[in-house]
Amino acid sequence: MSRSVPLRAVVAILGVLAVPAPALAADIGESGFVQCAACHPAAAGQPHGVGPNLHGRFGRAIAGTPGFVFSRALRKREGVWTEAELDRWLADPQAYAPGTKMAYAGLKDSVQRRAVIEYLKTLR
Amino acid sequence: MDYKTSAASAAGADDSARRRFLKLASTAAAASVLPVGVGAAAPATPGYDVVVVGGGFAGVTAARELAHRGARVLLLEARNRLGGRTFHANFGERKVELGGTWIHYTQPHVWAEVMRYGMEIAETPGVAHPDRVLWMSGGKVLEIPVMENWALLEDALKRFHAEAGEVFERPFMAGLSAAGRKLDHLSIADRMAAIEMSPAQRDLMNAMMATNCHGPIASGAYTEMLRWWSLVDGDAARLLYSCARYKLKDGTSTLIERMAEDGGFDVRLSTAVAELSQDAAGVSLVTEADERISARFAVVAVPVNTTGQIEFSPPLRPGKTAMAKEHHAGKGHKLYLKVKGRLETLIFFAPETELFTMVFTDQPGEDGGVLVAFGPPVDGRVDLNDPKAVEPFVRRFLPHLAVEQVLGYDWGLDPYSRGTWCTLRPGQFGKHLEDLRAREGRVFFAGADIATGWRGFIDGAIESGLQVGQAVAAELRGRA
Repeated sequence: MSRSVPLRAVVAILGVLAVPAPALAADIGESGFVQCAACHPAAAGQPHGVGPNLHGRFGRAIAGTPGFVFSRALRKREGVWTEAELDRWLADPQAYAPGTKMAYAGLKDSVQRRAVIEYLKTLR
Repeated sequence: MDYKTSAASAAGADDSARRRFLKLASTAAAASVLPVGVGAAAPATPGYDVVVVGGGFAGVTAARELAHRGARVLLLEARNRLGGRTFHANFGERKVELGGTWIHYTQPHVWAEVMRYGMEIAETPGVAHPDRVLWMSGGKVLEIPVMENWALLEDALKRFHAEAGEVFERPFMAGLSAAGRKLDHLSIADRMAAIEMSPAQRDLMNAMMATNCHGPIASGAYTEMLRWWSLVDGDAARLLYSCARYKLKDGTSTLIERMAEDGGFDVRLSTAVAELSQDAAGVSLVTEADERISARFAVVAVPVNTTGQIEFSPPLRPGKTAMAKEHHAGKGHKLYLKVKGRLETLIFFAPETELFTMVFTDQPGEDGGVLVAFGPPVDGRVDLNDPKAVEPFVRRFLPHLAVEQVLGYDWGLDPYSRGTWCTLRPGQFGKHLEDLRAREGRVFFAGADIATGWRGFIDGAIESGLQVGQAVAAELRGRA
């Protein structure tokens, strides 16, 4: 299972490769997603958790998930979840949307961040 | 039906308690807030006797007590779940407690709930029966037999707390005695400086104390530690066990859900309160979604660090507003570390200058396991979400281990907690506690942060919820 990919080792390799193949990155991203999964469900139709269900959200409106009450801070952001927007959000949520309810300091490693974004893209 | 959510989008998980919760919860979107009084179980006449703000253990306890006495109660919770600073969450294939975890039979209020609902108990192996104890001192990792290490720690604890009997005649006293007031300006660090210890003993003690107050020992009040010592009758082993030995086998969420189901009050999740005003007739609240809710009384059961986010009219007492600015000392981190390599049942300590001050085995294993680690705030200096960043610390103690995954929850960033468990800073006990506990007209205050006994613990939240529930019930009777 991709879940068992040793994140640390593969991220180190990817650091050398610089640009991982999206499929491989998504596998690693699924492992990295364990931090997100404490609050965010990812399976289609699952009820929201502390955070919204992330299934099918890539490319969709920011703070637009039906049935979840977003912070005023995130509702102020316009546009859709592109790779670039997700990268900025995940790197430093408090800077991207000051006052966000997402109690997460950010995924600082750009390679790991890219991997999680690739994984989010597969959730559709 | 006892537990009614009039507009909730409930958290999802696949355990049976959660399914029970979901069955009871409405599927209505949280965003579509319904007018007060709408819903199958709503009273015939609109309006509630009591609105409880905050769905942690204090708020849920108060709501349950009031509903059991016949009051019409609505509980508003800002987050999309009940539990407050307890959070039983997924960590890969298993579940862990990202917030408050441990309970003990020295804690009468929570233990009564355990007995009442027949909750099952589990032990944390690294604290219950460690095979090894290691600690860092002067940059080196030391290890002596477990009982010798314990003797070293016990000796320091006994001398550190020598004044406990003068300050606390007995535990669960609401105020601070005259003797306590004389010592209240002292930090834990100040008291430590007055005690003779070897460097190795001092570093061990520093680790324990920095974990207790979840921050640098200069930030926590000495009187707070005297309060803990009084609660355990000066028994060092009982102190450690009260803090980290027993937990709820199926998670804190199972207890709070049982309490809520048993309660008979209405719940709205994802409903943050922005304003709370009162006059002679009652209280009026405005939610962040601009909905107005009125009731005869309010119970505010939110962390003291967060009361500044609600606009109160008339304004709160000075102690309450001061605490909302000053905050308590609990600002550290708690992480679960999934490690690869043989993990024994052990505990290790390091002084507050290190990343973690106390780490112990949550799940041992031949090929790997899980450690739980506490440390003071890192203020962005270390990326705690990166397994590579925390691994070097662990490997200084256990060089064969690799850290594969980490999981924590940043309670300091969460706008509805702004911190972890409450340990008051020097001076706050004497200066603010009376104000913090005081009712303001029709508005009552509850929470683990303002409990008299196990302040900062699940037990304290329940203690406070019970007291305030009783006080409001008496008001309702008197004015009926």
